[in-house]
Amino acid sequence: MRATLYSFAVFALLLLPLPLPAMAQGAAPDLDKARAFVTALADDAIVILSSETTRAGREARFSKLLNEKANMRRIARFTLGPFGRKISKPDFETYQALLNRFIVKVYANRLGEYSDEKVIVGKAQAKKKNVIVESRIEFANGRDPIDIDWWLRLEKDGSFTLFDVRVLGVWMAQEQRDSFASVLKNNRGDINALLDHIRSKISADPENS
Amino acid sequence: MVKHIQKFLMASLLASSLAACASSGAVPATAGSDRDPYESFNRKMFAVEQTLDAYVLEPVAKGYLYVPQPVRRSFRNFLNNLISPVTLANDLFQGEMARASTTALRLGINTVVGIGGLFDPATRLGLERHEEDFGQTLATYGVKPGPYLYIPLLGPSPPRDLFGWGFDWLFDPVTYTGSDSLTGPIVRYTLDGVDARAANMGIIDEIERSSIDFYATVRSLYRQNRESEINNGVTNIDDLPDIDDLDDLDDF
Repeated sequence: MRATLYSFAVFALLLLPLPLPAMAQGAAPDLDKARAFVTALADDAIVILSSETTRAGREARFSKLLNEKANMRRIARFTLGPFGRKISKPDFETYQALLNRFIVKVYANRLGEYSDEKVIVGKAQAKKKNVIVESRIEFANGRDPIDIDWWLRLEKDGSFTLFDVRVLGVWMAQEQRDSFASVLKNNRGDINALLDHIRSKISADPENS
Repeated sequence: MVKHIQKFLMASLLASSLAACASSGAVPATAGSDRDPYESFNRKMFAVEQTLDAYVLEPVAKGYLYVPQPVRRSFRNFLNNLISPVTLANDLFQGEMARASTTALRLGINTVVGIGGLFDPATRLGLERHEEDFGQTLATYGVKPGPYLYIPLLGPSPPRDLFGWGFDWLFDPVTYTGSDSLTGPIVRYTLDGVDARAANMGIIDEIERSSIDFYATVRSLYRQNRESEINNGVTNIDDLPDIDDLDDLDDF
């Protein structure tokens, strides 16, 4: 009797992780799936930051990870603010390509500070297609822990993509949008000025000199 | 004591007149991402700060990094403990009784068991540290920050937070040490600044290096971080900007 119960329990457990049917459009995001997405993404990022010793290697792998897990097109639109509605298609494509390289350079190095750490994924909340997953980074060297929130979007195919990350209360894409808006404002809305600023930051990187 | 109150009243009057200017309708109350009516003045002040940083603060902070890490850790604990009466007063002003009791317990435990605050046994007991100031308290009462102001050595200081600073002075124990009410807070603030600059050396340099407009980046970091502090770090999905319409733009 006990053995029967036991095998029944095992069978029931085996059934649990069966993939759920693809989520219909408009359905509420699956919070556990969102948390799993963040766990995997954070683990991948930590492996890159702690195992790649060269900047070039770190950037190449970070770029691949971002292209797979983040919706770079949406991020590009967002960081242009209201200007994103006026920009021509060729300018947008140029901006998109530059922004991808810029983000990889900025964050592969800014986040270099955060290797040697443990990510604890916390609770998640959803509104429409948005999910925020909370997490805490704990450092091995006794530094104060840091709270990081991950803003995910549910895509039409039911998958999640990363949209923004909040570190110490600051959303990174919003910060980029604010500084890009400032450059645009101070150059009378000239997109070429913004593109030049981004180009010069990419080429000022020591790795390119 | 009378001297303290006189000074405090003068600081408060100055700050509140600034705040009054800010809320008199000269500046729209809605917080736009670039609302910064004194931007050209602020940028000049920001440049002054960067020069001071390059020639004074950064070299001093770099020197401070030679102090062994456990000693710096203890000093940071000590500074954190020293400011906690200000946090406690503001926890109470905000009616946050649970947070107030956490702060009070932390203060007691760390002062006694942690040898005058040099150690932080309270955190190990699960009493996590937070900071509050009167600028945040005013924000919870619905007071807007007013126009963005950048003041060298003080950093981003909109009138609400500047006023809050003056008010917190009353609850700060170091105000009542020494022969006058200014030396203690100034010494503490300076040491706090050096320690914070040293602790964040790498990330500050990296942000400066990678920002296409460092002034605007600092402004955005300050505003967002301040909002987060005011909300006690609680993440609320309803506060996110609406990005649904971005998807419509993609099919051109």
